[in-house]
Amino acid sequence: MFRYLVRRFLQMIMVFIATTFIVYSLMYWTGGDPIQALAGEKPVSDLQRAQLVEKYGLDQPFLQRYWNYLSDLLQWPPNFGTTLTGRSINDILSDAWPVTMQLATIAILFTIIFGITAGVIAGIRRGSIFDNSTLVLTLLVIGIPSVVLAPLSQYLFTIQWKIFPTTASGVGGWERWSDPSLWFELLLPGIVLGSLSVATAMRLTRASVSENLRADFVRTARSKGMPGRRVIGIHVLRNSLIPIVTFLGVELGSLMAGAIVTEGVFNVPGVGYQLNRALKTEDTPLVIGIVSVLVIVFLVANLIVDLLYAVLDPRIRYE
Amino acid sequence: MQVRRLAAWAALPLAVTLGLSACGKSGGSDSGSANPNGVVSIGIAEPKHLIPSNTAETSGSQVLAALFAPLVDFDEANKPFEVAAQEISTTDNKTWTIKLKDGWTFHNGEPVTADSYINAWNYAAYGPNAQDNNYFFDKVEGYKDLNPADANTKPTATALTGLKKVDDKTFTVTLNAPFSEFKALLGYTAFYPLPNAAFESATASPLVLAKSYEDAPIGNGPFKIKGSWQHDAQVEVEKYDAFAGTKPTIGGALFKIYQNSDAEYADLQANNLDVVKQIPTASLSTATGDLGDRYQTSPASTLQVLAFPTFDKRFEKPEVRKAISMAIDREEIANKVFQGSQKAAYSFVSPVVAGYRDKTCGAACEFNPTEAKKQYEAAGGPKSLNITYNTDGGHQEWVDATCNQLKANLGVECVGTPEPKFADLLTKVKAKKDVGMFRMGWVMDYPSMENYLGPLYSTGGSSNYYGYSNPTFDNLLKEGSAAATQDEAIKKYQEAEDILAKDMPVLPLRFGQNVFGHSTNVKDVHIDLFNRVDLNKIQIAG
Repeated sequence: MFRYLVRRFLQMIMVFIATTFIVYSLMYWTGGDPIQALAGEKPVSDLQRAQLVEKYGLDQPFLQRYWNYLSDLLQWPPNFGTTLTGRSINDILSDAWPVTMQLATIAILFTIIFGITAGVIAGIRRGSIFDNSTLVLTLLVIGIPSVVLAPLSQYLFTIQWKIFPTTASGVGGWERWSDPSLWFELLLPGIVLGSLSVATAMRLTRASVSENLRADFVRTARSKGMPGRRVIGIHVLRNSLIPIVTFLGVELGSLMAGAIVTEGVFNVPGVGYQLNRALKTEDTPLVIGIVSVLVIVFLVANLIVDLLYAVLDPRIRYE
Repeated sequence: MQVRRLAAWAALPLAVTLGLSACGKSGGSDSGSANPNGVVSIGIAEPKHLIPSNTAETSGSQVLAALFAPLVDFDEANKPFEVAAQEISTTDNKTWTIKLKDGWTFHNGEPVTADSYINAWNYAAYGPNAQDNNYFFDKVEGYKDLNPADANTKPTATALTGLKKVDDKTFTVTLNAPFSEFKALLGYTAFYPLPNAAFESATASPLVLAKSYEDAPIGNGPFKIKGSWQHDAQVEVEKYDAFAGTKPTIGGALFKIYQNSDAEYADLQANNLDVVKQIPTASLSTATGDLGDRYQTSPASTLQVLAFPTFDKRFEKPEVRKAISMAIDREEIANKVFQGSQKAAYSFVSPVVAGYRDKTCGAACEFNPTEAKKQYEAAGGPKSLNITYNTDGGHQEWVDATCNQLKANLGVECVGTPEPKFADLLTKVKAKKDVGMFRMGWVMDYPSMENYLGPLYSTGGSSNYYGYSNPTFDNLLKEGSAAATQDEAIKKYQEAEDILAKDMPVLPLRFGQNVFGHSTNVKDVHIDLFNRVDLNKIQIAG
């Protein structure tokens, strides 16, 4: 186990350096002129340009710039630098991440509660009315992209029927985790975000449960006279969870990436919101900073998923 | 967005009834009559900076307009009148004496003195500070010494020689050349004063701005900041009790920060937000239904034109340019493509400046396809045209529409040529590459006719990309800048504008409009020349 972890950790470092390098070079070669982007359509004076070039080291060769960036990043605490408007990226990230994590928590809980429960019921009662109606419903939800679902639900649930607040407000940061008003503001965006994965989670669970119900070990358990609840609760569910945990792990990673559309529509000051703004204003340092952290989040999420396999299925061992 | 619009249509009857019932129970605040302590919420984007000399966009200047009081403001006729200044006088338009009103203080209690202005302006004009509004000071004597031509050399001076303190409340500004519109220039964000507390040391040279100043700017205005600037969330301001000027009729303002204008508009629809300064284009078609008479428009300072590279043989003759102008139906594009969010333009200066006259362009801007074709053929206009535009500003639709009109009315080929950025377009024009006609936009820096003429059309003007040069025009501008009174100056500028109508280096197409909306909680919402909500006029609805 320990050796496995060390190996994974070394792999993660390699992947991290490779991905940041790719992102950095992509932003560098396609980024256009960041100084002109900052000034909009107004002309930039030569002096202003010279100042900004010096401040951000834009005249240094590419590898030198990447090396500077990486060495700032690999110290402790990491220094992500400043945006083109002079704000500390560390501050922006530490405000945005907690909000996105809050949103992702709501979304993933929603997915687990609705998706998996409905999937289990549909799997047990295959062919029933419940099974067929949820099938149609999930097809419908899968078919609606979030660019439609988010504004539509905002219009219906916040403007027409004033059930939820229209947009999230205020700053992010860890201290707001204990603030019930922010949880409430994030409820509708969280559900919108989660409903997209509910459908997939349900279909996966259903297939997995109905397959396991026909497995040999279930027949054995039943013939031994084990009560039905115990058969499903212990034997079927535990074995059915493996594909679902994989799915949820990857899903959690992409939820952390910030839902650009949903966060934009509901004005949630999370990672997707910042990423969108950074791309719009061509704020290269901010884009790279956000993506670097995203890479780490994905790597960690994948590691946790792999470790969970061993917990769920004793046959899987890591050496 | 398509579906969103559909949904909005379907819900329109309901929204109207909601709006009506909301009128019935209006007066959402606790008291029955107009509430002088009420707080108004206004949607903005995240400001780039909150430093007067570094704030050139409307979100930041909206916040600064609450925190600072300008030397001059503009009346109904868009002429400047004194606010923080007691008197601004000159005898030769070159040396201006500015006398400040007594009893004015910054929010930290510091008195506003001549030094507050001199320090702020020196900081702004000092090249290495790289302030966005640096160029506003290029007319002041000594600017060149602070901004050497070679960007990598150190400036030889740290203060403008043109700024001289007379006494605590008086200072003089000496310009490089006479400029009659200098008073109007002083109304801009760049000319606010800064307290000593804004600098690490107020006696240092060059001045260094305190790092924390921007988090909670201290100004001399009717409102002071409450707490600090909460990035990506909000900035809140409250009434400054010791304000010596005209007291506002509201207790404070909450500037809510949105990244997405659709989210901002949704909050207005839900009555959570009081003012949206610019309604997103996607919602324009339904906004009248959503808001009723709370949907409003007012003239803005922007001007969209179609420019000609006059050095290009094909567009040399003014007759060709005029014929193209006559073949464009401006009204149709303004109404169909922009849904009334922009207005057809028949003059070269915007209606928001003093001296504006309607239809100065005359017959050459009237839509007249038959005459256009006749003149175009007589003048030997080119068989194929193209319009270069930048793709990042939503210009494709109107460029295509314009091309279609030219195709139909002149019988020529016409295509739009996209460039990724406006800067790319300008680089090509500057290098005299073949771009054909190209789009240009202009946002006013200061409310004066001169600002729509000098930089754009004078020989060697800072934004004269068309190679237009007319000595008579240049002379008229010079005479205007040296004129003894504003009225005389305007007369000269109007004569200069008439020359443009004859030469047509560009075709005026459209003026911008502020398309704004407000909630049922507020009334008397006005958007000023600089696209800011006028906080002195807005009131809580009774």
